[in-house]
Amino acid sequence: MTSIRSIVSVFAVALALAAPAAAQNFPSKPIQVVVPAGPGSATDTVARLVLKKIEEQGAFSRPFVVINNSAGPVAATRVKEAAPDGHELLVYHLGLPGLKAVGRLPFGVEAFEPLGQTGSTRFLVVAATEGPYKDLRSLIAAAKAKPGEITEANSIGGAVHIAALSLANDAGFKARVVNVGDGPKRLASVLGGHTGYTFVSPQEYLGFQGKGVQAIAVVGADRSRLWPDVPTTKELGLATDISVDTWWFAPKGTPADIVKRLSDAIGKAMTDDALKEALAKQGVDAVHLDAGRAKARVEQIDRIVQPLGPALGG
Amino acid sequence: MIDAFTHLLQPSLLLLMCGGVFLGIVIGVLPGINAGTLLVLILPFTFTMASIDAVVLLIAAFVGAVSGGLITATLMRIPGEPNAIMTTMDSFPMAKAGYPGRALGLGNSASIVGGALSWVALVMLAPPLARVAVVFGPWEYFAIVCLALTLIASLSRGSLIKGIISALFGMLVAMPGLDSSSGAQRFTFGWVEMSSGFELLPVILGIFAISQLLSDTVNIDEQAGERVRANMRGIVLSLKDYVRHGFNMVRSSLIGIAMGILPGVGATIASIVAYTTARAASKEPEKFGKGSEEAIVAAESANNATTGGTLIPLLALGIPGGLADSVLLGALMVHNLAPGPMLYTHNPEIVNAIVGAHLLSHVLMFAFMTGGVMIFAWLMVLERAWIFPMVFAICVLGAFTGGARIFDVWVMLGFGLVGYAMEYARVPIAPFVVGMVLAPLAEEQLRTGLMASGGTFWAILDRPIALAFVAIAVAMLLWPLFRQRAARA
Repeated sequence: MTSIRSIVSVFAVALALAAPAAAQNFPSKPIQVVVPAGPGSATDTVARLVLKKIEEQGAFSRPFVVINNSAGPVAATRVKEAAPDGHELLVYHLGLPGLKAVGRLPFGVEAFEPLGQTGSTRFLVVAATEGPYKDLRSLIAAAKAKPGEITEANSIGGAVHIAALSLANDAGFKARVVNVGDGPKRLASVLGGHTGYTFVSPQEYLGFQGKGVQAIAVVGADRSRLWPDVPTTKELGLATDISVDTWWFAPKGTPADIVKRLSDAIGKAMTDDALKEALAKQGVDAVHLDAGRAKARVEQIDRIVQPLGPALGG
Repeated sequence: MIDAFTHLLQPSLLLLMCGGVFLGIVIGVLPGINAGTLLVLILPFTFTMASIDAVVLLIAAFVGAVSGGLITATLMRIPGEPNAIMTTMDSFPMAKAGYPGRALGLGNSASIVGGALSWVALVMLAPPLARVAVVFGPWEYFAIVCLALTLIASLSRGSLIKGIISALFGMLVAMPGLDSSSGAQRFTFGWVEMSSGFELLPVILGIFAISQLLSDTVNIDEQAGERVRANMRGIVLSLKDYVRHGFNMVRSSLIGIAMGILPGVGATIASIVAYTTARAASKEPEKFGKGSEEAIVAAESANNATTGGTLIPLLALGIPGGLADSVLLGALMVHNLAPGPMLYTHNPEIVNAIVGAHLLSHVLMFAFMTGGVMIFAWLMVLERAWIFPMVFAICVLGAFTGGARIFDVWVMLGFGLVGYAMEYARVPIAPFVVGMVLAPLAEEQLRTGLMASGGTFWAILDRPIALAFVAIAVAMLLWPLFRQRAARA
């Protein structure tokens, strides 16, 4: 018994001694980056582009390994439960506070330490070119005239649902939400006349523009560089400010110096012009926020999302 | 078009294609990494390549990966890719009966016929056919899946009741996890690992490969003595074979092309539909599931035919049909090429390169597979005690790789026991797999349709295409009864 206790105490001392050393020796193994979406998805592409740049710049002696798990709760729980030593990171967007809002996770963004934000994607509101909605104003008017009858292609519980709901609340209308799936599916649904309108990312819209669907508004304050003719929701007098920002998280309790090294590496990668251009090609605004400012943005979005819980199906 | 081919025959591009196809086949052989994942892994390397090189490499890898699943499916009962599930049903029994060469030869030849026919569709019909992908709404999808589900009846050899039990069990297994229509969790019992439900791959690895390992291990002594000497003949089919299976190949390829065009349906479902159609049309339906030549031909022509089908909406409209296409779409975007009618006008060389690479990759795939099959087929001659650990290791790796979770390995082992129990009780496996693959799609589409219609089923009456599919489904259900009556009379 004594021997076991002494062994345990030796380990404890060794661990205590090793703790500061761990920060210096970081990373001691490949860094796993968990992405809550499939390979090739928007979030995945942004994460991989940034990671490729960090590796090129040689910030760490060990490689990054991307782990895709399309089940958001599994991905988030995995990183939350991981040892807070910087070897397991999470890339997520406003879907994370969304999971908490609908009760699918008992925790939200507060369980993580933000490392930074790499890029922001504004949603576009898209309707059929030949359809009845030539602009957002006429769409809102129609939706107000027939509450719950105008069909909105959506992906229930996802980021796009949050954005659509937030806009509908701000504009004071209620749509008939139809769960259709990912961006290309939603666009195909609008194009085929199965639903009235939808919300998609610029990247998703790029492949469809000029084929029978058109963007009628950009959600947020700034016009898109790609489509300067499309008005913003702010110009139409709506306060909606929701975008899909790519956030990088470490588990809560990760040592401050490791957080700083990771955060700095992400920041350095984001100064690279080639990366900015690659992100722009994906329709992502290469807005970088450091750890502190990312935390503020994460909390701001969280405050918008949490009250939407019941409407999101929580 | 001829220019495109001469361009593709340059040594550097040809080498790139050989590399892509080879890599694809290797990945296709291994379960766990599917065509889409492979393309994602290749994608970063293509950022710095010329646009044509990039798309050619991706297409080659895609074609290779769709085809490679045949080898392990036949020899070890491991469907390397989910789309090889139906092939497994018959190619493994045939290989076990002593004709692995024949089984692989049939599959391989059917693959290239399917690929070539889908190429013709891709060249001739891409822009007009692409509209079909958009016209199909939730009701049409639901009706088509219903049609595929009624085919279960024809899959349950022997007892229909056992077939229905098996199919319902498969549907039940597909239910836990995320309810994709509401985002709610169901049947997870508060267990976070269950929130993505049972992944398809670990389940089919368990049902097919692990259960086979169990039964082989139990019977290892009695079977070792009476093992038939593996027969390598038949890897290259004779002209007579092509004539005999020609109609089946064409029919199955057409099914594959049609299913490929519909986004989200894909190669697995195409092979299921082609397989069951072949069975319904067969003069020897009782052979299906026991090593039928027609079955292998149908499943393999169909899954390769989807490669051309799925490129049609992708190139013409920019709608990706599956994961592999999404990656291809991403690659095109990175090179500033937006698919669609504009791509045909502004960058015809890219379209031609994609289309040309699609055909050439199939030719290369056929050559590689024919060569590779001769090597792989000798695995059947090895003492089986040497094979078992290897099969087991491949399965564990495959189940783990998908989500990098040990949970999936347990799922696989669990379903290994389930599969063993089902075989023991003579419950057919095919309906289980079909139920598990189709139920989520049927549910999702039906609920999407209901959400759009405000909850009324009658919306289907406004959709003539959907109604036609429902009518065919009903006819398919009644067909066996008529056939029985006709046989009695």
